[in-house]
Amino acid sequence: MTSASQHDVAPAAGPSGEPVRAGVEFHGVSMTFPDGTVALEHLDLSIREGEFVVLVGPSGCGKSTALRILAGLEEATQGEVVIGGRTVTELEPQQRDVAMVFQNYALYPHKTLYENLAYPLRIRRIPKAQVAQRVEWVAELLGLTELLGRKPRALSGGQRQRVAMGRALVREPAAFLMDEPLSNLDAALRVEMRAEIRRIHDRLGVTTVYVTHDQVEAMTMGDRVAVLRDGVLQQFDDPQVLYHQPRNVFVAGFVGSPAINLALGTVGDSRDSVELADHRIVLDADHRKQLADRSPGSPVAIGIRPEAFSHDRDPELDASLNVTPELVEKLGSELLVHFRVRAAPVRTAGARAWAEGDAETISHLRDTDEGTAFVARLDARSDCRVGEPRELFFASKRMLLFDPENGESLDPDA
Amino acid sequence: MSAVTHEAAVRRGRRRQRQRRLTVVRGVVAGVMTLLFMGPILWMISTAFKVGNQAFSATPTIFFAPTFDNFRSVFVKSQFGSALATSIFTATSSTILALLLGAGIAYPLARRRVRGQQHLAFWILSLRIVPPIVVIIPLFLMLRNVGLTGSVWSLVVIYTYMNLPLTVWLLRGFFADLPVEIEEASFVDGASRLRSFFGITLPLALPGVVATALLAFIFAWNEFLFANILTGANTRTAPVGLTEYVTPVSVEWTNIMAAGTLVVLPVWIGALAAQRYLVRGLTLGAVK
Repeated sequence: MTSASQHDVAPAAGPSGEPVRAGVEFHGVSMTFPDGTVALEHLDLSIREGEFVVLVGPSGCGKSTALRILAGLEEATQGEVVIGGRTVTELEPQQRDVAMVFQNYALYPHKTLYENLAYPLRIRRIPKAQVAQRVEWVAELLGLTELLGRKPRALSGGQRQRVAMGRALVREPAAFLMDEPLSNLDAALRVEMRAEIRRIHDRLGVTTVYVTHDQVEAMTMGDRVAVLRDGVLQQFDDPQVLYHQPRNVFVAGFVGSPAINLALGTVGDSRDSVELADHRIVLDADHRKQLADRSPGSPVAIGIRPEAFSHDRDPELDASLNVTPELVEKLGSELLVHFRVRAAPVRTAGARAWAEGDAETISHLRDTDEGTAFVARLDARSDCRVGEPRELFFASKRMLLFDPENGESLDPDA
Repeated sequence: MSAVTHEAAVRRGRRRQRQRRLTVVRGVVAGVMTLLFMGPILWMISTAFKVGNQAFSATPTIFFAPTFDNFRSVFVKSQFGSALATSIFTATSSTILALLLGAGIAYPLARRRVRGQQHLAFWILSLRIVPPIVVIIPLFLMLRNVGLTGSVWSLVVIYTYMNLPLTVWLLRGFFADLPVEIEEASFVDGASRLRSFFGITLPLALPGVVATALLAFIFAWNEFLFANILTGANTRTAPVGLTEYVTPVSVEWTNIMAAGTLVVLPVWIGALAAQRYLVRGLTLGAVK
C-alpha cells in the first residue's frame, strides 16, 4: 500500500512540477570523424512523445554515434537534433535534459549508491528532503533499497545495471537514452531486465531511445525499430512490419532468427511464376504485380523465412522444395533442418553485411557450388533425418522478392 | 586409507614444506636488503644522538645514553630551523603550483584529441632530460635581471618549472586511465565540466595525484644545486644549510647527522601517511 502511494506522489514532487514528456527528432544528421570515417549519413528520424524506439544494427552501423549525438557527447557534422520541440543541436549535454544509461554503467565508484542516485538531483539544487524522497522511490522501484549504503564495487553486475538505470530514472528527463545497457549481463538476467525496462517505460511513459546490436532485444522491446547499416537508416517501423515487409535484403536478414533464407531464382516465362532450384513456384496476384517490370528469364532474389516451411501437406501451402537435410538440430519445441538449395546465393552488399555481422543467425552450412545454405524451422513432430530426401511445403504468398542487383524489396508497400 | 590417497597426502605435505622453506628464504633476503638500504639512515639517526667521541670510536657504540645537544646546537647556534622553514615553504608551494598547473595541462592532453599530442607530451618530458647544470647560468642571469636572486621565490619558480614535466606526464597517465564514460555520465547528469572535474575526476585520480605530489615534493626538498647558487644567507634551504657544518677548521659530524635527521623526517612522515595512496597510485593503470 505504502509503495503504491509513494509512486503516485513521487513524480509530482519532481523538479519540473509535472512530468515532462517530449519526442525526439533527427533532421538530416550526418557525422564524419576527423579520419574521414562516415558514421552517420543524413539520418532523418522522428520519434513520438512517450515512444520506445530501438536503434539496431551490426557494430559500426552508427547507432551509438546517433545516441551520443542526441546526448550531446558527440557533435554532428551536419543536421539538427530536436528534443521536445526544442532544437538542441548547439547545446551542451548538461543543457539537454536527457538521462543516459551507459554500456559499462559508468557509476561513480567513490560514491555510495545513495549518492550515485542523488547526484543528478543535487546538481539541480533540489531540496534535501525531496532528493531523499526521489532516491527512495527509485530505489524501491528497482529493488535497491537494502543496498543504498554500499559502493558500486560491492554490487553484482545486475545490481550495478539497476543503479545505472536508477540514476537515469531519478529525475524526470525529456528522454531516456540507453546504450546497450544489457550487453554486460548474462542471458537470463538480460531477459529479465528486458521485461523490466519495458515495464518501467510503460509506467513512466518517457520517450526512450535504446541502442542494441541484438535483434531479439530490438524486436521485443521497441514500439518501433530503426535498422541502421553503415550509417544509413534502412527502415524504421513496427517490429511486425520489419519482419513481414522488409524494405531490403539487409533488413530481411537482420530481423528474425534463424535468418531468412535468400537465393537467386529466375522470373518465369509469363511473369506469373518464379523458378527456384528446378522448382516452379506459381505466384498470387500480389507477387505477380511485383514482377511486372521484370523480363522473363531475368534473375530475382527470393527470400523464404525458416518459419514458412512445414513438413505437412496443406492446401494453404501451395509451393514446395525437395530437399536433403544435411544437419538436423533438435531444440525440443522445434527442429532446425539445414539443407542446400541448388541456386546461387544473393550477393548484394546488404545481404553480405548481415551474414558477416551476425554469425549466430546464419546457417551452419556454407554456401558452396552445390548450392545456397537454407534452414527450415519445423514442428518437433516432423521426422527429418540427415540424408533422407523430403518435400518441404510453404505458402508462396509468404515469399519475399527482392531486386538481385541492389537488394531492394519489389513489394511497393514495403 | 588407500595407498594412492596416502601418497597424494605425502606429496601435498612436501609441497607445503617446500613453500614454507621458500617463504623463510624470501624473508631473510628481504630483511638483509632492508638493512642494507636502511643502514646509513639508521647510522645517521643514531649518530645524531651521540657526543663527538662516541661517534668516532673505532668499534661502533650501539648502546649509549642519547643526548639532544646536537639538536640544540643545530637549532640555537646555527639557526637550522629557519633553513627548514624555507625548505618547507619552497617545496610545499612549488609542489602545489606544479600540481595545479600540471593538472591543467595534463587533463586536456588526456581527454581532448589534440593534433601532435604525442610530440607535445614527449617534448614536455624532454625538458626533464636536460641536466640542471646546463641551464644554471642562463637561469641565474635571467633571475638576476628580474631581481629574484637571493629570494625564496626564485626557488619556488625554478622548482615549479622543474617539476612541471613530471606532474604533467604522471597526471596525464592517471587521467587517461579513468573511463571517459564516468565523466560523460556526469555531464549528462547535468554537472558542468568544472564540477565534474573536481567532483568526479579528481577524487578518482586522487591516488595518482598524491603519488605525484609526493614525488614533486621530494625533488624540491632534496634539490641542492639551484638552492646553493640562487639563495642568500637568509634564504638557505635545508640541504644548503647542511654544508655550513663543514668548516675550514673541522667537519661537525654529529651536527650534520642531527640536521640530516631533521631533513629526512618530514618526507618520511609524509610517505608513511600517503603510503596507501602511493602504492595504489604508482601501480594505477598497470593493473586493471
